[in-house]
Amino acid sequence: MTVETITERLGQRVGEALLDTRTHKETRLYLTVDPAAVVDAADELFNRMQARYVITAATDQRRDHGAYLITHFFSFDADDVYVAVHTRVPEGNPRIDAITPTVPGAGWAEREMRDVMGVEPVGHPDPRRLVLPDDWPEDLHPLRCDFSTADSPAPVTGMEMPMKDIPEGAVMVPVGPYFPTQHEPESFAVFVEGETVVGSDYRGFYNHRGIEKLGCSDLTYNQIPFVAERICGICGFVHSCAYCMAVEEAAGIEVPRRADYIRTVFLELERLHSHLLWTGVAAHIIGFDTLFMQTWRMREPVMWLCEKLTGNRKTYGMNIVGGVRRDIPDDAHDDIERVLADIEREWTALAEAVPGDRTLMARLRDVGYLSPEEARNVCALGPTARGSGKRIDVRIDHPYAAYDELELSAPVEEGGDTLARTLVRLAETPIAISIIRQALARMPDGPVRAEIDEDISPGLEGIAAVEAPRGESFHWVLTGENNRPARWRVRAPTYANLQAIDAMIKGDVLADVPIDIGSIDPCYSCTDRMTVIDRRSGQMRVMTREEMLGSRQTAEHTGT
Amino acid sequence: MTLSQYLPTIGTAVAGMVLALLVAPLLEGVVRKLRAIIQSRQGPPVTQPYLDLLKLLAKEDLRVSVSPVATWGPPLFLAAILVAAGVMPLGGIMPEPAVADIVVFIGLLALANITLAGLGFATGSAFSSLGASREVMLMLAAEPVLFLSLLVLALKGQSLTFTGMLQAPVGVATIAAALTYLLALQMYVAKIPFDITEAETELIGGPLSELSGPRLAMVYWGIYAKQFIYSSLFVQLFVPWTLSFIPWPLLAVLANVAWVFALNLVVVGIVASVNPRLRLDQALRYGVSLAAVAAMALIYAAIV
Repeated sequence: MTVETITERLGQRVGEALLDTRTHKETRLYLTVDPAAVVDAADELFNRMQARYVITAATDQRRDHGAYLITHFFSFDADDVYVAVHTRVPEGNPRIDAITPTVPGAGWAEREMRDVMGVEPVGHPDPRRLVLPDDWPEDLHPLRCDFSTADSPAPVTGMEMPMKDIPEGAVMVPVGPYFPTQHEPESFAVFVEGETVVGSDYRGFYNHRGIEKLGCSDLTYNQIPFVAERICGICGFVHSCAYCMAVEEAAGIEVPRRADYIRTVFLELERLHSHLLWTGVAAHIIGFDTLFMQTWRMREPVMWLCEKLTGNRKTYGMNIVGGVRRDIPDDAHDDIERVLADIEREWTALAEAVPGDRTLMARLRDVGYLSPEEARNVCALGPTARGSGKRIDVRIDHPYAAYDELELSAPVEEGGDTLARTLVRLAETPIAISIIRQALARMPDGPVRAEIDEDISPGLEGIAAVEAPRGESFHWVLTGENNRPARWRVRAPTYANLQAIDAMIKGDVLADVPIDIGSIDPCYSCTDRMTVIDRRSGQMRVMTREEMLGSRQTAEHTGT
Repeated sequence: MTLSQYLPTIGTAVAGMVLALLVAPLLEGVVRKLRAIIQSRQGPPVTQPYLDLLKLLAKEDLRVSVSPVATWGPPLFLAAILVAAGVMPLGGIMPEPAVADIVVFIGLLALANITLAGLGFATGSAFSSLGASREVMLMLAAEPVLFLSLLVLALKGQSLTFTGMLQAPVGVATIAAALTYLLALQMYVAKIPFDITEAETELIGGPLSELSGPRLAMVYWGIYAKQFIYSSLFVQLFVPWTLSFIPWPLLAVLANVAWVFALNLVVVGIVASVNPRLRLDQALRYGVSLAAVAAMALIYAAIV
């Protein structure tokens, strides 16, 4: 489907409401529609044309346009087209029809839009708060331009997010906000009948750092990569790379080919490192510590290698708008090859052993099932989508960096269970090794970054996406004044994949929940907190903060 | 009978308890070292469990619950296991008159399991309660295997006493019973793949999660001792000929201990290193099928 057909079909559907269209290199389509037609446009794109919903962004344009700019992003993966549907919501009446009833995967994004910009998604099935802290004032929206990063509302105690109603006869077991096998605070409320999971609710964003706000209020174009790569502790390069590519696209900066190849090498090193890390974490979740220790031993040389190449065990400090900051010297090729060869040898043995391990298979097979329909509805990404038979991979669908000149494939499994997602990652690792080898062999000579002498003018847009180890990392940049973006929107893959957990854990037993959650490869942290409602007595026990403090006091009193 | 006639029994009991108390942490340390080597780690020194216990014993006694079960559970758990260590044979030798038979012995170990479950329920934490209910379920799966396989020996030895069972002739049924005991050993000692009660990554320690300081030390010590006892019982009852040819009792006890270490290194340590944790339902299925095998061995022993 080309940008012309998409524009034509949308025009037929919404008619006069299609106010403006603009394309960029036949791969980006920017549309402006009337607010009244936004649900129709989303329906046409997502349900009729089978586009994938990506994310929603809200931008404060009250000064220039007297309106909030709401943008829904969609992707036509088979056709290498990203579509941005812009709508301007007048500042006097910040309300817009929610697309969530039409596009289920937009549920979180529209809640976030309401939180950060104060634009009400009318008709949203679950309009609860998503990203702001529970005690944040209702009328304060941090992404509005008149909110300063120096402002900080006074904390209020005793505020709690209303949770979903617990199904009749079910028991609630919250997993989090600290969870023994995840490394960030996230809280799932898991509803169980007996041992069987019947539903769940989620509260997260405890570590929300307001990075997007910083990007359009305090930082400059070339400072942002250093913050962007700290969005994730594992796939940092993915974010700085996607950000830089979005700015480069917006400003029309030509990146030297050698820089594209260097970016590719680091992106794949990061994938290698991430999949080794994940395999260890997943093994640890199900108590297989030997596999955990061995994969982390295998992973360590990747970090030594990155330290040698970038000066940091993580691939930090490399990306800059226009290219990369350091070259890969020719004499480093042997070091890289040594590391790759070791991992390849050990990984092959490991990947062959996994399907033969009956206990391991018993824990992975037929748990955490995500059907292809559910995967599409929640807009699952990366190995989570590919484990459910969806062949989507940004490297192939929307080639960036040097991927268009390299040979690669995206392994797909039809199983939809935790085993399928595991097998996808097992198969992806040797491909990452092969991509690094190809990139090193074909790397052209030349500079590693473009010289940028002109200021980037405001009002330009750029979309960039990178296939992170967990799926598509999506960045959108709208250029602004003062050498910084007017809006920088980031959508990490876990944002979409986490919304799949509810469907995955239904029907499993409680003991499967940790590995189900782990199977989408999120990153969070240790020590569970649980709430139990005994369905026989109907008595509810939620360990609140006060109770936890109370139990500590009891302990102190009885202590001798 | 006079007290002096009980002296050998008392002596063996004291020796058994002291041995279980003092050697069990070393056993744990050696198995940890093995796991470390398999995992390409250096691992802590083999004396680490002693240091852990000493550190915990020296800590402040903090309790989250004032219920008597939470207060007396840990000492009761350790005591039940130590008494079990006292009434069982040592080095393949069971002095007369014995004060307990295998029914008492199994009862003592069951008491320890029930105490651990009770501890979990008593602390009121949801993790502990979940772990406690898992402990009960696992016990229901493991105890029949233990009881049935020992019953085969009792039938062959024509007695429920250890003395009688030590005399049981080797046959098809006893070999089958020995195998089921060995296959269930990992369940008895609750090591991976059967550490379902504690399941650190699911239940952050289950019944242990609310314990600290000396009380945690007592439970850990009991768990180490339990591992020693179950292994030692296997060596003495199912392969008694490996000890009975030794003329000197002290040497027999040493051989007994050596066997326990070998068994834990070759079976318990390796199995725990190369497997993930099973789910409760999978573990229960495993227990039930082992119980079925043990039952068949018992029927065979009764008929033949």
